[in-house]
Amino acid sequence: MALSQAWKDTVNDGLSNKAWDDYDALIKAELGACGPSQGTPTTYNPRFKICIDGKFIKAMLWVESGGPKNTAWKSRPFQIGNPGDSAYRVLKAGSEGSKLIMSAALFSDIKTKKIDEPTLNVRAGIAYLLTRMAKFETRSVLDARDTSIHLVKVQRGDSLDAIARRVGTTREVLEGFLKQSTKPLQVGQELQYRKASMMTVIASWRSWNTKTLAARYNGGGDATYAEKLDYVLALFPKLQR
Amino acid sequence: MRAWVWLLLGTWSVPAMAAGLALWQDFLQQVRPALLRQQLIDPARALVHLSHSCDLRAGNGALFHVLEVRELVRGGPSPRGVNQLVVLDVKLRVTAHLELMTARPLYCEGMNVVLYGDVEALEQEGNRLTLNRRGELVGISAVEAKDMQGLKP
Repeated sequence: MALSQAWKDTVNDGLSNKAWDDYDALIKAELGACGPSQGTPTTYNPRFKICIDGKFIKAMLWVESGGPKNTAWKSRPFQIGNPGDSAYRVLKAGSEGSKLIMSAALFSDIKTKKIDEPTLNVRAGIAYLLTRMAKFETRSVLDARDTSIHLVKVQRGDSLDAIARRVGTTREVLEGFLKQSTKPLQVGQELQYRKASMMTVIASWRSWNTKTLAARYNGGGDATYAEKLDYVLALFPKLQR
Repeated sequence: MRAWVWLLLGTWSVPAMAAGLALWQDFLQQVRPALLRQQLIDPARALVHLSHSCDLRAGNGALFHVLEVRELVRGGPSPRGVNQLVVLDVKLRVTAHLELMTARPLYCEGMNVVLYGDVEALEQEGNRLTLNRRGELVGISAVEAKDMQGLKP
């Protein structure tokens, strides 16, 4: 589907108009610095364990907002909070894994401050994008506050699941200490375990490309979304600053 | 088209029609309020597509209707889509729903729905949904285009 000339003219304004860079510093601050990680040559953002290229966020901001001449630029540049928008509800509830993405300060701000404040709207937009790009999994996570190894005696009728529930650990941890033993549990047998619980974690990330960003963030609303992102990304090397 | 005519005449008690296709308006007037009531769609969004894709038939005889519902969040220059696959029982109660994004339902096969494009749910990814006899989503797997059986008369 071809992009309209009117839309191209709108974003082409960004070539010479510095106002389109208004949120650059904020985007950089939200994504965090990417630096060499200890012992590996790769770079990552310490919070997200990934180095996210800010140009994708900036391109999405241009596409979402329509630029500084659009009133949304000073209210909801990322369109979070538009009527019927499920993204705002997700962030306010911390659901769909978003609580793992947001800092405590951002989570608090989203619940208590006006989403029409443009800085908060951009921060919320980035948080929702990251929520949509992350792959979450439910995993057994060891309790970092209690590193001691405990013992539990098997009782009549016990199963690993029942024991795990009773002592505050997981089946996976018990199995790990049993070292894949296939012998049935014996009454009176002592099992080792560490405290653990099943938690949702960020397991990995989806590919950062315009097609995935369009599907995950725009949700199939605008059929030209990926094309728009490609167009804006191609403008960035030509910005006259 | 044939499927929702059957659905309207066969299960939703629309006044009998002498011939021809049932009216689109009848379908819309029954399904839209049911989806609104169950908060599957939002009146603040623009409902841009609502269609009956196919029916699922469980071994116990239960019948479920598969709908494709697409909405737009108004306001921005590139509105966000809220695109869903919705499964209703014959009383129009939602038994399952999931986010389609850019995927689309193609056809039903027993208690499976085959899609064009992948979806994610239940920590799985694929283009074939499996539902149980209560119409609940219980699994997602993958089927390649070359292996798709397609609609059967």
